[in-house]
Amino acid sequence: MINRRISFALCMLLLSGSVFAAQSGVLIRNETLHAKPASSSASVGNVAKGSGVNVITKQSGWIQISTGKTQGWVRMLSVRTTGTASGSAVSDIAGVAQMATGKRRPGQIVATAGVRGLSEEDLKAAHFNEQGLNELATYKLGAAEAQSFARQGKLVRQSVSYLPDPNAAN
Amino acid sequence: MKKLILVALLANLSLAHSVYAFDLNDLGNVLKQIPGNVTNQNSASTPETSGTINKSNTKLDPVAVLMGALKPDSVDDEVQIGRQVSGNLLGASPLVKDAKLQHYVNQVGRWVALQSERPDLPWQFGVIDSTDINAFSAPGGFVFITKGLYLKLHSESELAGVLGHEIAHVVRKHQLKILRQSQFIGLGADALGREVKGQDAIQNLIGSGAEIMSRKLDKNAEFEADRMGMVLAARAGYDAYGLPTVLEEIGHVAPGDSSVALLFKTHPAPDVRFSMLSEAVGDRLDKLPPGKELANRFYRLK
Repeated sequence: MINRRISFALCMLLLSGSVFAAQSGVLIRNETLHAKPASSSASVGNVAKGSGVNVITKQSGWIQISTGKTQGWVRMLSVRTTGTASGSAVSDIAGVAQMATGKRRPGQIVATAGVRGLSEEDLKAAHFNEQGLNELATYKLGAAEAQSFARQGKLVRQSVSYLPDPNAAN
Repeated sequence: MKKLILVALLANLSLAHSVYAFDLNDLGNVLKQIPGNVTNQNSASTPETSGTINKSNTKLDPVAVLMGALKPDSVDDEVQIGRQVSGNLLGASPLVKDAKLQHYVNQVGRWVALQSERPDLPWQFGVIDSTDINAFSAPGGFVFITKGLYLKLHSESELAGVLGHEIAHVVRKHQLKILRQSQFIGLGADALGREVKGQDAIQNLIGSGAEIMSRKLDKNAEFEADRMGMVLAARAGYDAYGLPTVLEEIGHVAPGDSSVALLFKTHPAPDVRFSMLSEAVGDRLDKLPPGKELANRFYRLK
């Protein structure tokens, strides 16, 4: 009984661990490794753009990574992660290249017979659905209802400026 | 996210002829239905084509004509166009039959839209029954997310980010603006447009399907909508990183998967969008108090 429990716990540990263990990432900018998920926390090192890292966990805008030698936190937007299990960096890059050239691997097209997608052809052939529009309108909410919903979720409005276009200044 | 989402229009005017769905036949049909003498005016100026649309006017793009008919600041006109486009989209893919889901998405979307410069538009949000991974918006405050994309989400903050991207397209009038930039405006389309104005004209021009939803916006419009989507979600009190998290997730879908074919055709690649956000954000949001993810409140589809 005890053994069974221990092995169950081990299994769970392995399973939960595997989610993160399988995820790797690449730095897309030079970053300071921080001791905590905050830019005000102590620096524990630097990671260069292009470095491969392992992902340990994520927290809001931060991601904890291991470089092999060091662990620390960087901004989540500084790490491009690869998919779990199936994805490797190499296939990801190949995929991007294919997207750019418009070529797709036919073998990767998932057979979805009987399942409704939404292709360009579907959109072209569409007929006006007035009933659908009327139904949509029944869900329309006023500002007061949205504010009440926000209060229930303890959502607090923040003052945040729009982000400038990084290419515009040049 | 549509493109993510979008009612996409023309990115590049040079592509206008090949991309526009509406050809002169559409315009001809519209003109035939107008009482009055629009066609006669044409033929008067070019007698050799009397009774037909002036061939030298093949540059009179019907969409541009329609845009010429719109008052630049008329919300009613904008909503009318959006309504037509959205009705067509719902013809291709109806709303998911789940009133709780639709109500929930309207709650989140309306709250996020309230943080924008256009809080008073008649915002309407819907989840459409498609396995495709995509989201769309149409002028006047119509926003849609597919069931396929919704199923990829894990929290309310991710939904807020996706809706924020679509809301941004509407707020910035990306679809309308690109149409207005058409080189054909000013070639008489403006005057002609006033003649063809009306619901019937809009129906005829846009009414041939929801193909307009598969057009591509300028990639800079997509990057801008990403930046604004993050900020709108953050203003609403959500974790600002919902949208980039969704971009990562979509980036992990095999590019050849048919469920992302339209999305990838109409948008820059997810990791390019992620990188652009990375550059735009830098350290700017470091001092933002952590927002809420609300994974527990997120309405989960069975």
